[in-house]
Amino acid sequence: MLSSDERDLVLRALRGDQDAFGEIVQLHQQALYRLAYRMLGGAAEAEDAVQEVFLRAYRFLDSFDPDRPMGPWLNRITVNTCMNRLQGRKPVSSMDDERIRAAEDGPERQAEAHDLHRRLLRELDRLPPRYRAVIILRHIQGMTYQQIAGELHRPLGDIKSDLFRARRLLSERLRDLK
Amino acid sequence: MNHLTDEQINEYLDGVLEPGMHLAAQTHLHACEPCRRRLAQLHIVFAAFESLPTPALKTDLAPLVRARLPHRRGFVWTPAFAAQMGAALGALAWAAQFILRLRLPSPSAWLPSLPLSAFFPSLPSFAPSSVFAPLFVNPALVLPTLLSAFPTPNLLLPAIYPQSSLSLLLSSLLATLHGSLTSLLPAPLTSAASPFDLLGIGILCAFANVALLRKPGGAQA
Repeated sequence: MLSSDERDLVLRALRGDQDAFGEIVQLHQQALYRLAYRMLGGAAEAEDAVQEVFLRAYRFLDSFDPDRPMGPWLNRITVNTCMNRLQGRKPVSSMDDERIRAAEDGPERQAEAHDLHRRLLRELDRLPPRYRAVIILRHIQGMTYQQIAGELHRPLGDIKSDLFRARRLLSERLRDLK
Repeated sequence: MNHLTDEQINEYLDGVLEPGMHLAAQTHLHACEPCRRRLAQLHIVFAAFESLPTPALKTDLAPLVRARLPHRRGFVWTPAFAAQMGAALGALAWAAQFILRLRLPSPSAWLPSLPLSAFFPSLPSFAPSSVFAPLFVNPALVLPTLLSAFPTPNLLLPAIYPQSSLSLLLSSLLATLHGSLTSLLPAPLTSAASPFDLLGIGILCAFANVALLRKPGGAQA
């Protein structure tokens, strides 16, 4: 259920109040950015994608039920937007994992963690977009199978099947991880 | 020994197996080295993903998004625009009358002539072919035709709902409205042949548009 503040913002945005929509952007931009970042593998592209998500959300705001939470709806638009961008794109290793750093570890541990993260991100990038989406939603966003199926508007069986296949692929490629 | 399926291992990892199945899987894992290895490998990989640092958005996207939002506003008909629309409709009507004269046979040849009184005996005769015929001579006569053609509303409702006092009340209100409208409109709009009556219709429609479509805040989805 949407909080009454967020519901009020949605209703004001529906009446054309762009300040209200700006507040909606501020409420959700971090979560959507994290999702887009993991899907696309880069900060600049993720920022661009999130802006596109909000513009689409504004355009289709009439179709949104203000009594429902906005997060899942925005997540679905984000996943679809990112998947559209990924279609036909060659996997690109994230250049932004230069910013990834382990907290409070020494230089050697930091370097090891950094390498591991680069490798994980690279393997994530290699996955087909559909598999990448379910892995990110399950393991990084922490959603259940049912939540993922609801967010992506796909049957539960398909989500489980994609998730299990994606896991098998990743565990084969990362077999040497201890 | 039957090993755990992929689905069972995954659902065990996610903690979504039914309690009975979970216990059976646990017992199996205790005794089966290969399945334990498969589960451990999955667990290591996914613990690693879950440990990925969370990227933080450093830029506030709200101003950037706002700058790109299309303007949502009600479409406001100014009197000048309404006059232009009325003139355009008038011109269209003038053109249409030539086309209709050239293309269509006499309306009495093809419009139905069944009087409405066949269905509602208390109504006066109403033959659409004769009523709408003037429109095919001059399409600009649409408003006078509509006002004069139909039986007055105070006859229609009681004919359809003879026992209803509500229908009598509504029919009286409609009759009052019908009579007021006919008497208030200027003569060129209620009587004959002028293309300027469409200009009047255009202006009336324009103000109706403003009244019906404008929403609070001046914006429209």
